[in-house]
Amino acid sequence: MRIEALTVAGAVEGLRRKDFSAVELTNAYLAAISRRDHEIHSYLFVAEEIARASAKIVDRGIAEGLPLPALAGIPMAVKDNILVKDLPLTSGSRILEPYIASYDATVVARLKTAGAVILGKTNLDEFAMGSSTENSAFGPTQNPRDTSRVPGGSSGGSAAAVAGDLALAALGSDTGGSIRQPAAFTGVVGMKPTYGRVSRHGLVAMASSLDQIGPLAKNVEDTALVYQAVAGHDRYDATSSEKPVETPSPVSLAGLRIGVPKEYFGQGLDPRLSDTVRAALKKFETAGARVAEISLPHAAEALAAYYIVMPAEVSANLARFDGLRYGFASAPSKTILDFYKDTRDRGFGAEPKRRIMMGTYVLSHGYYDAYYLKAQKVRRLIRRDFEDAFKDVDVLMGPTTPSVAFPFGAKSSDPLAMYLEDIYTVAVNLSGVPALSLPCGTVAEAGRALPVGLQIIGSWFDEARLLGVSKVCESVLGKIF
Amino acid sequence: MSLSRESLEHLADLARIHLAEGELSRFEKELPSLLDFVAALQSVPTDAVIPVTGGTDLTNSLRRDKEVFAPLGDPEDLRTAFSNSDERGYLVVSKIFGYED
Repeated sequence: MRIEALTVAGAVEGLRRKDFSAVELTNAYLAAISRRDHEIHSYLFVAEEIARASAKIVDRGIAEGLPLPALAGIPMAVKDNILVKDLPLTSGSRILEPYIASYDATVVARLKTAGAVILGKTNLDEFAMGSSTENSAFGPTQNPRDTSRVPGGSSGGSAAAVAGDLALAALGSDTGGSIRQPAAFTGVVGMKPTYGRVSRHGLVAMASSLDQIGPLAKNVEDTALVYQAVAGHDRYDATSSEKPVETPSPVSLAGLRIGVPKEYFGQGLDPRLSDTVRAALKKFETAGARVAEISLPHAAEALAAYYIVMPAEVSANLARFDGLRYGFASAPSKTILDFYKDTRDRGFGAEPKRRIMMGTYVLSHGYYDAYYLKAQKVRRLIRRDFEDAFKDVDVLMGPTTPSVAFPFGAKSSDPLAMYLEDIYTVAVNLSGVPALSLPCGTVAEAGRALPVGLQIIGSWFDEARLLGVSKVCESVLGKIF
Repeated sequence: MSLSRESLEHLADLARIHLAEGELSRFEKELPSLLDFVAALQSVPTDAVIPVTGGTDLTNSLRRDKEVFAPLGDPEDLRTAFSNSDERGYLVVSKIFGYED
């Protein structure tokens, strides 16, 4: 079995044909992890015994001739801010140690029902705050395409696991680009579904009005299979939508209206990425698509609005880590206030502290109207830009990131430089629409082919079309990795 | 924009975080530059714009009174999630009363 050539759909077919067993499949991935993950560091925790035991259950089902569920025997990785019962959960932070999850997140329960085998928990920037995994309290993850570079973040471990053939697919979470940006940096497919499409129950909350869980996989078909397994209403998440989840259907590029936001090709975009994305758009046009430049007038303000709304919600959500409930607690202090402050000082890294401080500032008395309320109004305008755009086009396309994967340390000393990584992705979270990053080419640098991501944005709850369009674009672009 | 040392320390108090000297001087420089960056929003006209209040426009997500929920977790499992519990099954946390002030 060559795991490099496997896909989710192909592996399920291989199990059905009895080319290999689920245990053999899981063992192949566990072997790859023990052989190569010391170099990549995509996993924080590998659940070997539990993975083998779930693979055995799948094999028993096959032996008994039971119908195979959609992800039967598929070895998957789960970002370590999503709860898997009985496994440790760190969220990339020291402050939760030694927490063991007491229940499954809804998405994990659904993966298990679909037959997936969970290999382990993947590395992330602390509390999903970052664009490189350099903010993980447990050390960074390397990019499998070039180990001197970051894999992106915050779902860098999940992206690296898929790109490095250390998992067949993975779950990540995306608050401002944390699935799409690492997918772009590592040359895999990653999708952030519509806000409310996938349950957040069992996801460690970062910014509750922006967070969504989504899949990362080697191709669009696999992404769709994982998405369909986890999507849909959940009684444990009141913000999850009751809208039915539609099956992606084949889409033709002939006559498809593609809008290209001119603001996504402005200053700060590496010209090589601009050329790569434009070359992809040209291919879609040749295949019959109608490509037209459009405008998202408030695109320039999205990052500023995001860096008010997100830290505000972070400061509220992270207030629960006080040393009393779970995880790390500092030694008893003289006053309860000292105990809280000392626990949070020693438990949190620099980036959560920075965002908690920023969030506390923008929510504090006298500044609320000028910052938070203003940002929520601008957020309405950003949302309207997308509503207007989707009156005239079916999907929007542009670069996922302004640059290719950067070397370690290149941006870690300047928070604003790191935040600018999210410039094309945050508006999607602020408005709630679904978006996917698809590898569309490479840029050569120091003898390496570094992936370039094409961001495809769909309308609210229109994942079926977004996935259909992405699939036909993928086939027009041909093999990239 | 600038942020006085006093305001920064007050903010850290509000956020319940102790910041060491090095972090205070780092944030003294970084926070004003981030606040300057987000101040770009001030020039956007937003008269009569209704602010967004969450990730969805859903309101009052209700369920029927008679719906029965399965418990979220076994109390026994919950104990493993906490740092400490005693033989009676109680979760042990640090004392929060009886401090000097």
